[in-house]
Amino acid sequence: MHIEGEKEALLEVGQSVLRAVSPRATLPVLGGVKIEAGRDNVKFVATDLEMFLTVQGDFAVKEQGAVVVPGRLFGDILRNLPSGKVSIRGADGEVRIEAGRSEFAVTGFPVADFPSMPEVKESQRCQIAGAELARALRQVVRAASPDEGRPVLTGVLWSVEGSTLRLVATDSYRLAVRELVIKEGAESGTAIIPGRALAEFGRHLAGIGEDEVSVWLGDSQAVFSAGSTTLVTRLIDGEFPDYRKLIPESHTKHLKVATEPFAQAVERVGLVARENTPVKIHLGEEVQLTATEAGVADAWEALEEVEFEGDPMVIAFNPRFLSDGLEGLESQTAVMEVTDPARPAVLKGVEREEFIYLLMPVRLPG
Amino acid sequence: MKSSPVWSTPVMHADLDAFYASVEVLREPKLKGKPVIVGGTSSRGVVTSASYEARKYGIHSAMPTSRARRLCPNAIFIQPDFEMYAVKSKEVRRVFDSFSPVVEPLSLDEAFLDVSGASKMWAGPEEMAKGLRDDVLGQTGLSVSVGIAPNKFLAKLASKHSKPDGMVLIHPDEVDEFLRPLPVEALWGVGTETASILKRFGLRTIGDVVNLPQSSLERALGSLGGHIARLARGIDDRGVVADSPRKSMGAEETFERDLTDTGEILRVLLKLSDRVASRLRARGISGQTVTLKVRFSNFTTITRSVTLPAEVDGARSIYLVVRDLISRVLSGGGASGHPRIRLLGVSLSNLKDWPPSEQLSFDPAAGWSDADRTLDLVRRRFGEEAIEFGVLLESSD
Repeated sequence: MHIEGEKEALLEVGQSVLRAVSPRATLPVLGGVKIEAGRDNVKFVATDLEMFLTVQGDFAVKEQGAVVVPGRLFGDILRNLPSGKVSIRGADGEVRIEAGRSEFAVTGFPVADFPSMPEVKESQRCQIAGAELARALRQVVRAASPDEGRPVLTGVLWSVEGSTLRLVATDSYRLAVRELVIKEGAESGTAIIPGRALAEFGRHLAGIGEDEVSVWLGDSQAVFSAGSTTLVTRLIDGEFPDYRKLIPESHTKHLKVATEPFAQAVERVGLVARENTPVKIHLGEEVQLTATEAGVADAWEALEEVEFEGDPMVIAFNPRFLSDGLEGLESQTAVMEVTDPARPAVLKGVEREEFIYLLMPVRLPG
Repeated sequence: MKSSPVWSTPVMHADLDAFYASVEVLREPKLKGKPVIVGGTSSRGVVTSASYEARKYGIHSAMPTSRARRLCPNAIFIQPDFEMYAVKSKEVRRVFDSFSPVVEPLSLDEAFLDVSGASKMWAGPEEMAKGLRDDVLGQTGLSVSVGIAPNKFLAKLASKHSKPDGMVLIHPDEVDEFLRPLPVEALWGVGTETASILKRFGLRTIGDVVNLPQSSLERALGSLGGHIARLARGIDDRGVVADSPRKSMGAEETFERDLTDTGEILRVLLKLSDRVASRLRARGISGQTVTLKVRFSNFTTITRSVTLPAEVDGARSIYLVVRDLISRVLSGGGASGHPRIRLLGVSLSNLKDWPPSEQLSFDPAAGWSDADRTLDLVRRRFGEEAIEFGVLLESSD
C-alpha cells in the first residue's frame, strides 16, 4: 500500500477517525487505525467492535492495499509532521511515514487481525437534514446513561412513525424527547442505538453543516452516513422503558423564565453545589436559586424576567442535569411545569413542542 | 483486690441533651419550655427525639408517634430535618476540637474526648468540662451533658447520670463507690439476656458482681464473664481513638462453610449492605462508590466497584448495586460451575462529609430513606438485632 496526501488533510481525517478508537481497547488491534487504499479512494477505519467508523479521503493512491497502524502514535506523528506532502506506505509488519526530512518506521498490526465490518442485512433507509439531526443528538444523547449495568438505558430510542422520527433517552433521572421530520423514506419501527455511537456521529455532523444524512436500520445494525463519513453500529437488545407514561399530563405550577439568564444563574449558584448537593429553586412571587455546601459556602440569586403561577414551593435539582436541559432548549424563553417537590419537572421552550426534557428532583435529607 | 485506674489520662464523654428537639427549639424559639417531639408524623412514624418537657409524659425515642400523641396530645410534632442536624453537629464538633486533639464521635450527638492534656491548660478536668459546656452553649445554643472519668466506660456512665444539662466527675478513688449500687444492666455489653443469667446467679448490682471471683463469672459466661468482671471493677482499656478522615467504610463476613446458593448469598449481601448503611448514617456521612468483595474457596479474591451518580447512605440503594455486581460475577463464572464463596464484603468509598440528598428516579423503587431512619432509631434503643429486613428473618427459620 502506498498513498500520498497533504499533511493537513491527512490529519483531519486521521483525527476524526481516531475518536472511535476505544481508549480501553481489550484487544491491541482495536487500538489501531486501518488504512485501506482502493482504486480511487482511501478509507480510514477504526472500531471498538461496537461501532465501525469509516472516513474517506481524497488521497493519491500509488499502490492499492491496506495497513493497520497504532492509532495514538499515528495521530501524534501526523500532528507533528511539517506541512506539505506526506507519504504513507507499507504492508503487514512495517509502515513508513515520510514528510520532508522526517521518516518514521512504525510496526503495524496484521491486517487480517483487524475486525471486519459486519454486513448490514436488507434494511430500511431514510434521509434526514444533517444540521437538524446534529442539534437533536446534542439535545438527547446526554440524557442517556453511562452505566453499563442497564444496557438499554445507555442507548437512544430511535422511533419512526410515518414521517416523524422521535429520539428518546433517559438515565432514569431525566428524560429527553425530541421529534424531527424525516425528509424521505422509512417505514414505522424502533431501534435502540448506543448513545456513544450517536454522540460520535453527532460530533462529525456538527462539522458538516446542511448535508443530508442517510440512515439504514437493520435487524442488529444501523448505518449512518453523511458526506465522507460512515458509521456502522450494533443495536442494543432489549425493551426501552415506556417513556410516555412518565410525562405528566397536568401540572399545578408554571414558571416562565428567560432561558439564558436562568441557565447562567444555575451555573453560578451551582458553583457552590460541589459534588452532589442540589440547587434549590424557591418558587413564589420572587423566584430564587440557592445552594448550600455545609461549612463551605452558600449562594443565592433572584431570577429576573420570570413569571410564576401557582402556590409557593421549593424544589431541588442536580444542577448539571438542570443545565443539560436548559442548554437543549433552543428557545429564548423556558417553561418549567411542576406539581410537587418529589415529582418530575417538565422543561420546554415556549411554544416549542419538538423537545421536552423531564427531570426528577433531588429530595433533601430528612 | 481493688483496681486503681490511672487518673493521668481522664476521658470525657459529651452528650448533647435531646439533640434534635433542642435544634428545633433553637430554630423556633417559641417552642422553648414546651413538649417538642421530633419524629415521623405518618401513621407508622416513630419518635426520633423528645424534649425533656415531653419526656415527663413518658415519651421516649423509638416509641410510635401515635402512642406519643396519646400520651401527650398537646405536644408539638415536627418532621426531622437531618440536613440541619448534621450542620449543627459539625458546629458542636468544632467546639470539641478546640478542647482536645483526640475526639471520637459516636454519633451526631455524642463523642469521647481524650482530655489528658487538660492539666496543662486548665486547673483540672472539672474546670475544663465547665469550659466545654459553656462554649458549646455559647457557640451553638445547645446544652451538653458531660461525664469525666478514668476511662470510656465510666465516662459514658457519668454523662448519663449528669443528664440533663449537667456534669458528673468520677474520681479514681470514687469508682468503686459509684459503680457498686448500679444495676448490672449498666455494664457495657450486658443486655437483657445476660442480665437475666446474672440474676439467676443472684447478681443484681455491680457490687454483687465485684464480690464474685472473676473465675466463677468466666465459668458461667465464658470470655464475656472476664469482660464483665473487669468493667464491674471499673477497668476499661479502650483508648479514645480520633476519627481519622476515613477513606472507606465496610462490612464483611467469612463463612464457616462456603456459600453456593444464590438466595443465601443475596441475603448476606443485604445484611452487609444494611450494616454499612447504618454505620454511615450514625456518622451523618455518605458514600458514592460501592465495592463488592468476593473471596472464593480457592482464596482468589476479586473486587467490583460502581460509582453512583449521587452519594447514598441507604441499605437498599447499596444492596441494589451489590446485587447487580454479584450477578455479573456469578454469571461470569462460565463453565466452572457454581462458584464456592468463602467471604463476602460490601464497602462504600468516595465518602462525603454529609448525609445524602436523594436524586429521585423514575424508577418506582424509590422512597426508602424514611424506612432507614426508623431502623436506626429502633436499633439505637433496642439493640442491633431488634429489627431486620423481612427477608433476613425468613432465612433464620
